[in-house]
Amino acid sequence: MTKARMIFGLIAVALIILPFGMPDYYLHLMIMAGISSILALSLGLLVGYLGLVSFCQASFYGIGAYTSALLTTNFNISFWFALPLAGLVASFFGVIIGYPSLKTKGPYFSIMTLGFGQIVSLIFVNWVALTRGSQGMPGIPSPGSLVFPLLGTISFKAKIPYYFLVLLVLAVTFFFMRKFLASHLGRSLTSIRENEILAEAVGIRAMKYKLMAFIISTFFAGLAGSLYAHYFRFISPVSFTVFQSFDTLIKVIFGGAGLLIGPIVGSTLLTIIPEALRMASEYRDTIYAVILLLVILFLPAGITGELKDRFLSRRRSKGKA
Amino acid sequence: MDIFLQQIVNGLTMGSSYVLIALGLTIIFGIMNVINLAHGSIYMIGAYLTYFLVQRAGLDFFLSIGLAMGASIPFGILIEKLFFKPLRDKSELSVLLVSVGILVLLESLAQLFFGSEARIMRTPYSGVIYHLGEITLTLPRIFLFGTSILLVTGLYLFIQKTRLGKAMRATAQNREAAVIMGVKLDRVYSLTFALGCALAAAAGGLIGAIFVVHPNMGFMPQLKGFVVVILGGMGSIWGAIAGGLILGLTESLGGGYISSQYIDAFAFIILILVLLLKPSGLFGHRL
Repeated sequence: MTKARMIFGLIAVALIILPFGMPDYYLHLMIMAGISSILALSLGLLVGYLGLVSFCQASFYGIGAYTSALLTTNFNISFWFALPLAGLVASFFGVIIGYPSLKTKGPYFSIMTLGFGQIVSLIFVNWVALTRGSQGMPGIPSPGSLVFPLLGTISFKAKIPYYFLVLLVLAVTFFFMRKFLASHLGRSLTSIRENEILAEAVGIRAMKYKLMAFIISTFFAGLAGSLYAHYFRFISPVSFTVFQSFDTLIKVIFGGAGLLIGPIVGSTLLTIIPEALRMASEYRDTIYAVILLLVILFLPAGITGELKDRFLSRRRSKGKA
Repeated sequence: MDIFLQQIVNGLTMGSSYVLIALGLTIIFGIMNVINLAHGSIYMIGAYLTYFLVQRAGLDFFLSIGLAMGASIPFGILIEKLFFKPLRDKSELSVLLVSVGILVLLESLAQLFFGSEARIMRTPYSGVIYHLGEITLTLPRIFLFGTSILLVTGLYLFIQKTRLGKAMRATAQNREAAVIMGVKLDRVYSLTFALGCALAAAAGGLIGAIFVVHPNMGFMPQLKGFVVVILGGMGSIWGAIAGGLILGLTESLGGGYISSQYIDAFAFIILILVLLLKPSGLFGHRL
């Protein structure tokens, strides 16, 4: 356990030191990896801990992005208020979509979310008065500058401060989910995944807990959307289609849905590897698909799950000897 | 009134393409218990094959559709053996995820090889229009409807009258008992999957001649195929036929009288209502 803590500490230090002196392009990749990690974590909670494969996570990401963009451009609300509001609005729609969807099970849930995802996409494209349709929304402001003691005024137009903002939200997401899963509520969720009927029989109201997890999941997806919108300062419906949901799902499965760190590892590797290999972007989807197929067939627990198994089994065999 | 009749005709022709897609999905689900999200990709590949055979090789439209269907049979068997067979006794979710992988793989490959632009298929029949009173009918739409009826009848007879069809029905009813009675499961599964693919390829070719051919063309029709399957009842052939026509009519009437922008949303509203109110569907016997 102390070894795991040490590795964790080293990674944390590296994440804090690394951005200084890093070329802009790599910093950009780190920011992208961070935003997609938050989104993947939000989906990972559903896939890994409830066994629910949702195909509309990108819709909540989009709802967060549009909420934040509209609040800051049309109502001049500061980003620092728009960010949590983006999460809240996304989780409000999370209730509307989650409540009926969660009444269905397994593949039916997935198909239901596919349907809702399509409806949200259609609204993004067709409600032109609100979203400007497929032309997209330009001119989304960067987060306003903040004054910090010792550090002075920091503008989030620059990449390094934005990186730390994303890292902070990612850390909050990660630790919140860890606390949540370790709590009484989280344990109830696991029991629901393992055997819903039994869980109901011992007095766990499955629907309530599932909906709660869905609300948490969509809240963080909304935060990720807001961070995306104010980083690129332009959003359009193509970023929030079902293919974005598939993309996120692939990251979760690749990293491993059974551990919270899995979606983060999956998102980071899948954001950075294609770039590191200098691969043309048009091959990206093909590579993602091949990775997904190979992982499902040969590494069903994802890379983190596989690593954990190896590590534990080695330790165990040592213990025996 | 004339507009109404026209909408009915359009609804029935579109509906017949949904029937073709949904039939494949429903037999694959009913017999293999697989929810195949890659079905629309086979539809797309069928459309491209038909397009190239008609446009580049100059073959007859129907011959091209037949060849596309033929080609999709070994292709379907390959997919089944490579991806679905290893997961046969695994969780439904891994099967679902593997089909997402195949979907993304096939669509991204289509994008790479064929480009993302929409292609127009010109057949000798393309511009032929008939007027029946006030109703306008284009020849490709008549072909779609007629071919669908033929294929549906063919599938029905195959399942009802042949030995393999009997084996398929037996497997759908009780897999273990069928195996004990000597049904070769591997063969039945491959055949079922391949038949579904052939129907999807045919639908793709027929629709490609009416609209355009492009890499993502299969996604929406496939989702609607699922809506039809769920509306009709998972695994039910009659359900798929009724559901397909109902969805086609709903879309064309809804598009004509309510909103043409949100025409694609009607399917999902039906989906959500059915799953909430009558999850076993119209003709469903199990769920």
